[in-house]
Amino acid sequence: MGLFNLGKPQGASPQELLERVRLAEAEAVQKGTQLEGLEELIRHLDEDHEMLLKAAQLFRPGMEAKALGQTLLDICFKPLSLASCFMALVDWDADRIQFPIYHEGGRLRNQTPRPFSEKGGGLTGKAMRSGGPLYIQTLDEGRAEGAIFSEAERVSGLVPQSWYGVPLGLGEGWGERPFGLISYQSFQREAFPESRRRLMDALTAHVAMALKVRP
Amino acid sequence: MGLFGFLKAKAPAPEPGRAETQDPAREQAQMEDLRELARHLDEDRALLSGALRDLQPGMAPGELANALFSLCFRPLGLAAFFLALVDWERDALHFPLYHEGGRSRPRPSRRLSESPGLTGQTLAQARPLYLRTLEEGRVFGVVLSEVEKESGLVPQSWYGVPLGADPAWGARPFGVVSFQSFQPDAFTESRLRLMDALGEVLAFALKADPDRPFAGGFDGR
Repeated sequence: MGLFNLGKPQGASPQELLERVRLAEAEAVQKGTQLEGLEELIRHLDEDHEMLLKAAQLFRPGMEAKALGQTLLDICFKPLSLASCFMALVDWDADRIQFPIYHEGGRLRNQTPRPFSEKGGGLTGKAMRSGGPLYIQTLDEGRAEGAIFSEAERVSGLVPQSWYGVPLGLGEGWGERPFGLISYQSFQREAFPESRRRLMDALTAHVAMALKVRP
Repeated sequence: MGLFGFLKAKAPAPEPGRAETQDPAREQAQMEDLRELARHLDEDRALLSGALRDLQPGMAPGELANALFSLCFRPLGLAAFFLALVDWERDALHFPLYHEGGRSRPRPSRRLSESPGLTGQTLAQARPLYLRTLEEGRVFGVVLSEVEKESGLVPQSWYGVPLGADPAWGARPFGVVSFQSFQPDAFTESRLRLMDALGEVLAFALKADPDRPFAGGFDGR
């Protein structure tokens, strides 16, 4: 029932009128909630859409890993409300992992290359060996899965709760093993819903191709 | 600029001194517009994510084009779609995939300089070319296929995205992907941007080489 019926109150008792008002108010609240939900969904979709379009515009062949990583940060750090983000590249034969980009605690940091096999490679090693993305939803889960904490995390105690790592070079067309990983992290627990994880998969796939493209 | 805000900008402001009234029909229309926008954005996101998932390095050009075509044919309401690759040294235009009239058809290679058509125009200007009607296409020198000549069924809207147009790729583009529709002026600004992005993804997939070392080398070596 719409508000229009209130224009014809003849014969209606005060109780009936009150009931109509109550229903109209409930209907308005429901519509308002629906509208807000839809607007929130559109904001979210629009953000995802823009991130993917920007990646297509800004990733260029011949960009070095550091520049690509920085471009990725510029595109997704704020929209995804990230606490940290890094790119790791792995040389399996030399047992070496390096970090062309490592952003945590509000700034870029130098992370020293290290043997990849050290401490099992932490969450990065686990994701790369499994050959698929790894989603850690809480810090406790991260500890149980063998997270390696950075110096800044140990000193500050500020450690992200959610960790999503997507290997670089996943899929039939790539080699046997991924050649790196991008990790997206948040201070929120269970921060990344399914749709956002698919978005991060897509962005990472784009970075992988940009790293290996032959102009 | 994002698409959000489009609807708010579209809604007229209430007259000064007059409170905004609740018009159920207008509210309903606004909800419908929002739902339509959400559908549109969701479709675009799925297309881009799907392309980045399905277009893999090592696939042949025809396979890559077919994977992209399968993803976007319905959502974009396409009548025809093709991938053209250019061999500048031999002045040749090859078509690894040419889809029209409901199926993929072999399209012979041709000399680019003799018959550039819209593809040649797109390559020459190294930026996307959008023709909204067949008349406009004729002015720009469209080359009709045998099927189009025989059936008379010719797409009205033609959008060509050059592959490798950015100078980082090289001096000249290496191909064109073309999206076509029977509707005149079929592609909105946001859809054109989407097709540009799909062209970029296709270009990366065509040129990605898993064995290639990273630019700058591992660990700076």
